[in-house]
Amino acid sequence: MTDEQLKQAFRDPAGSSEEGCDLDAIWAGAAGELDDVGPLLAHLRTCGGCAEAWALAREAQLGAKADEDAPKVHVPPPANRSLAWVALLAAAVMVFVGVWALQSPPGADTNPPVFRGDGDGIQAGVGQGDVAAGRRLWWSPVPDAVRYEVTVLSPALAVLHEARTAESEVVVPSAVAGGPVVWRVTARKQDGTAVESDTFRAVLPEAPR
Amino acid sequence: MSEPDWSQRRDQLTRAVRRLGSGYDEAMVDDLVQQGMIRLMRKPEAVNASYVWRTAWSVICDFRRRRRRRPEHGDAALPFVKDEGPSPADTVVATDLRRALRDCLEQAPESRRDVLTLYLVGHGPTECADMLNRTLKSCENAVYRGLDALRECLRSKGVA
Repeated sequence: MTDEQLKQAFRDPAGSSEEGCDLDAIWAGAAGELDDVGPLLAHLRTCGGCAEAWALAREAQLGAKADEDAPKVHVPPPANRSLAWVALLAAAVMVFVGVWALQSPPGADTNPPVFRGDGDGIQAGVGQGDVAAGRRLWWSPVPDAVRYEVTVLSPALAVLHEARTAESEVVVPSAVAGGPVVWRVTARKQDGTAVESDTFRAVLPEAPR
Repeated sequence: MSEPDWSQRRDQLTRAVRRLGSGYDEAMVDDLVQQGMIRLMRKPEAVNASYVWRTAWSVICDFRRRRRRRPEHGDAALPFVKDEGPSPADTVVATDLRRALRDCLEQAPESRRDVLTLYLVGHGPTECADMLNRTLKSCENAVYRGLDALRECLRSKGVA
């Protein structure tokens, strides 16, 4: 069952009594204006109608924010245009330097790995230099692990890629677009126990064509 | 205080109703916009973008609740017309799933329950962290682990 199906089921008003639905409180809760949102969330768990109203309120608040932000787009007056060009030039130089840094260091693979994590359990390896290695996710091996299950998700938590492997690394396939992702690993041991990693962040480069 | 530009507000309200009430036909959108305009005109001093969207939301919520209590529109109001909505069996399945979801959420550890609830109504981990005064990392972990546990629980109940 996907995240979207779970959300849809949770917001299904079928069978809910809708007693105790306070639309003002729901609006304030969705806007993050309540000091203690716990009791209202407990009510949402029992009432699909209120859960649906909350989800709609959030969408309405995002729509209002977009409308309020829209007129604030500012076109610099002619006197400031030269300043804008300088900023644009500086940005272009920074992009150029960034691309050069990504492509240039042939010796980067010899750098010692940098591990990330809280030092307890599985740690993620980062620090590889070239573009191909940037799509390789790797981690500290777990003693007695017979299999690793890797999940790569978007920052909005949509599952982008899942893999099972006996190695302590995977290469994210080119079907997954470059950009920020989060990922985690579960190590399965022979005796059936599992070790779960923290959730790690990474920025995937676009796959080489 | 100057009078709001009602034509502009009507356009904004129409856009809001269309977005929040996706799937409604034009006649329905017109009806809801009309109800919304009446509410806006009662409080001209309060009218801004946020108020227009809130009005669209409240009009739609009221409409949906009214329709659930007493179907006045569509095929549900005309029992002799072929019903293309969810069958009674589908409705029972949906209600069972909702109930199972509620039970599984209640079984979840307290530290995950509110985060998962917020996630299921559309908030990402960053918003969850702000609303519950928690760290982003703890909310991310609560969502990842919580969703796994939720699916497992639903499977054990035979509804996923």
